[in-house]
Amino acid sequence: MDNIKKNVFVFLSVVAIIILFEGCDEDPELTPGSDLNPPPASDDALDLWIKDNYVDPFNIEVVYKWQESLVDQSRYLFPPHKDSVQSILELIKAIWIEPYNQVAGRPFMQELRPSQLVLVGGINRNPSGTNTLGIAEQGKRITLFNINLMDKTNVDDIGELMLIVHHEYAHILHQSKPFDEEVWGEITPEGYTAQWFNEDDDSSREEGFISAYARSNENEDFAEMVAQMLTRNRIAWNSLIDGIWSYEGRLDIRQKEQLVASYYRDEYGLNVYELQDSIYNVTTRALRR
Amino acid sequence: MKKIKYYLSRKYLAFILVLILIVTACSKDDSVQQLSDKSTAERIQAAMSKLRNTLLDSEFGWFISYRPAEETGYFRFLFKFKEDGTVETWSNLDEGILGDDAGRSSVSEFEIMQGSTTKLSFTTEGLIHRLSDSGFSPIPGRENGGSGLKGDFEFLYFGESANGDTLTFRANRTQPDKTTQNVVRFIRAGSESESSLSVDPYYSIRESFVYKELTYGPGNELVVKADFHLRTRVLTTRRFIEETETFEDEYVAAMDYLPGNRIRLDSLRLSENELFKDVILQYDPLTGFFKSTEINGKSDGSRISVKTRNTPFTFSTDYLSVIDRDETSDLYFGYRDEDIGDLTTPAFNAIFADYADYGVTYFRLYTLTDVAEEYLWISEGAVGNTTLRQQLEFRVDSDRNRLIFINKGLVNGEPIDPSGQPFLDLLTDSEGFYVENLGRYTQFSNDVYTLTSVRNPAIRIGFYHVDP
Repeated sequence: MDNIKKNVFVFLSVVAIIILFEGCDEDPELTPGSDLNPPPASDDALDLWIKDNYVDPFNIEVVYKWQESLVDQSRYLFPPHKDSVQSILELIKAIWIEPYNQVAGRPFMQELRPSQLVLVGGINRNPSGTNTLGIAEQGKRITLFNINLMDKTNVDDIGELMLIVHHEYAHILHQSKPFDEEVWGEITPEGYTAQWFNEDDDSSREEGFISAYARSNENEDFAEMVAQMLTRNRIAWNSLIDGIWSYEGRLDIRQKEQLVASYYRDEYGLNVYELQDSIYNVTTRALRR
Repeated sequence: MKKIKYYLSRKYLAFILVLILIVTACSKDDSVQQLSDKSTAERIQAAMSKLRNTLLDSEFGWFISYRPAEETGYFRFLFKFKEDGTVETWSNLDEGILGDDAGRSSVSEFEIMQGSTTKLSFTTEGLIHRLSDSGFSPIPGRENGGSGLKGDFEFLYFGESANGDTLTFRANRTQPDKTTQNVVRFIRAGSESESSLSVDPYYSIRESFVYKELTYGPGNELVVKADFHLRTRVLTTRRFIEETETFEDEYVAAMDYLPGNRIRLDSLRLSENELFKDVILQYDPLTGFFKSTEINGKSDGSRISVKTRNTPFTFSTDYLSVIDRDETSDLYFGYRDEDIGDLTTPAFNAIFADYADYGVTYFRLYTLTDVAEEYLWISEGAVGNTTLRQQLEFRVDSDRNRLIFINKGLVNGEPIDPSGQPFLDLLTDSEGFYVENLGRYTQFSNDVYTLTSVRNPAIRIGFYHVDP
C-alpha cells in the first residue's frame, strides 16, 4: 500500500515539474518588455522647479494638472492657470515649509508631510453658499482651491493663504497623531453648530471660538486655533485674545491655546511659540520681497 | 484489497481528468477568432497616439459649438493643438462671461489619456474652463448656485467620420438630471473658422431696449413675451393669457451666435402644434429687431420677429417689496459688477461712467428707518473718502406700478460732483422706474432687483438685495 502511494506521489511530482518547466518556456508570441508606457520625465521648467523644491527634498508630489480622481466630481472645479502655479508654490514653501524646517529641522517635514499637494484653480462652492478653501485627507493629501484668484503681492491674499495652509497642515498633524478630542470638546461643548456660517468671527470669539468656522466641530476648532496662532506674532495674538470682552470667551480660548501648545510639545517636541515667531519672521521677509 | 483498489482507481481517474482539463485549456484553439494581435495596453496606447496625431494634424485646428447643459445655449471654441502639449484656444465667450479678457485667446495644456474611453483632457486652465467656473453661476434656481454653466473640459472620444473631418466626443461629466453625457463634435477647422466666433448678437441685444416680444405669422398675429438671457445664451418665450393675466410655462430656446449678426435657435415652440427647428434670426440695425431668414434649412419670409417694446408685458408689483422696509431696506449697486454687471445696460453705464471715473464706484439705496417714504442714496468712492448722502423721497404710480424718486437734497454730505449730475437726473426722472425682483440670480444668496427707466427702457440698473 505504501509503495503504491509513493509511486503515485512520484508520478504527480514529475507531471507538476513538466508543467512548471513548460510554463517557463519563452513564448515567441508575447511582446518583449513591459506593456506599461510611463511618460518620460518632464523637462518643463515648472516641473523641474517642483522637482527641485518639493519632490526631491520632501517627497511631496505637486498636482497642478487636472486629475479627476483627486477632486469631487459633483463640484464644478477646474485646474489652475499654469502661470499662477510657481509663485503660489514659492509662497507656500516660504510660509509653511521653511518655518517648520527652521524650528523642527528638515527630517520633521520629510516625515510629516502630505504626500500630495493638489492645486485647484477655481472656487469650491458649497450648497450653503460658503466656499471650501482647502481640504486635508487622511494625513496624506492637501488640496488648495482658488489658486487662480490668489495674488502673491496682496497682503490679504497672503494672509488668507497662510491661514489655509496652516489650518490644513494642522489636520495632517492630528490625523497622524490625534489630539485629545474629549478634553477639547469639554471646553465649549455647546457652541458647535453645522450652521457656523451664520455666525461671525467677533461674536464667536466672545463664546470661546477663535473664528466662526471653528464652531463647525472639534477638529476644525483645533485646526483653526493652530492656524490663527501661527499666522500672528505673539503680540498680535495676545492683543486679539485680550480684546475679547467676555471673560469666559477669553478663558476658553486660552485653555484651547494651552492644549495646542502641549500637543505640539508632547507629540512632536515642538515649541509652538517658537514656530509662531519663525513664521512671522519668514513671512515678513517674504512680504518685503 | 478491493476497497484499496477502488480508492486508487477513483484517485487516478480524478487526476487524469484534471490533467486533461489543464492540457485542453493550455492548447491553442484555432477556432477562436483573434480580434487583435496586440495586447490591451498596446491598443490603448495606439488609440491615444492616433487621437493625438489626429488633433495635431489639422492646420487650422478644431472647432466646436458646445451646449453644456439643457439650461444653456451654445458656446463656440477653436482649438489649435501643438506638439509640445499646449493648446491655443479662441472662443466667442462674451464680456459678460470673460470681462476684460473677452476677445483674447488662451494658451493652456492638454493630454490624451485613458478614461472610460480615450479621453482628451484640458489639464491646465484656458478659456474652455470658464464653462465650469462655480464662481459664475448664471443658471437660475437656488440649486444651481456654484454650478457655473455646467460645462466640462474633459471629452471622451467615440470615433470619427469617414472623411476624418468630424470627431465625436462626449463630455466626461454626466449631468445630474441626465443619464447620458452631451455629445460634442470637433469639426476640422478651415482658414475662415476664427471669423465664426462672433459675439455681435451679444452687443446688439445689449444695446436695445430691455423689454421684448416675439411675433409670428404674416400679420404678426401671435405675440409672446420674449427675454434674452445673455449669460446662459438662451431666449425664453412665454405666452400671456389675457383672461387670467398670467403667463404659460416658458419655453427655453438655445441660442448659437453666428457671424453676420445672426442667431440660430436650435428649436422654438410657439404652441402645441408649432415647433420650429433651426431658426436663423438676422439683426436689423435700423429697427433693432431680429427677423427670421431661415427655418429648418429653408428660406423664410420673416415669419418670426423678436422686437423691442417700450413697456413690460405686465406691470410687476415687485416695487411693493422695495418700498416695504420689512422686505427690502437696502439695495446695492456696484459699477461693472462681475456677477450682475450684465443686468446693468450699457445705456446706464454710459451715464455713470464719468461719475465712476471721478471715483464713485458704487452706491446704495436704502430706506430711512424712521421715515417710511424716503430713501437715502449713499454714494461712496475713493475721492478723499467722500461720502455723499442724497436724500430721495419716493412716490408710487400704482396704475403702472412705477417707482418715482424725488430729490430732497443732501444729508450730512458733500455736494455731488458735476460728473454725477446726469446720474442724479436719471434717478430723479419724473417718469420713474419699473421694478423687477429676479430672485437668486448669482452664486450668492442675495436676491437681485432691477430698476428699468420708464422714459428710456434701454436703461436698466441691477442691484443686490442687502437687507433685511
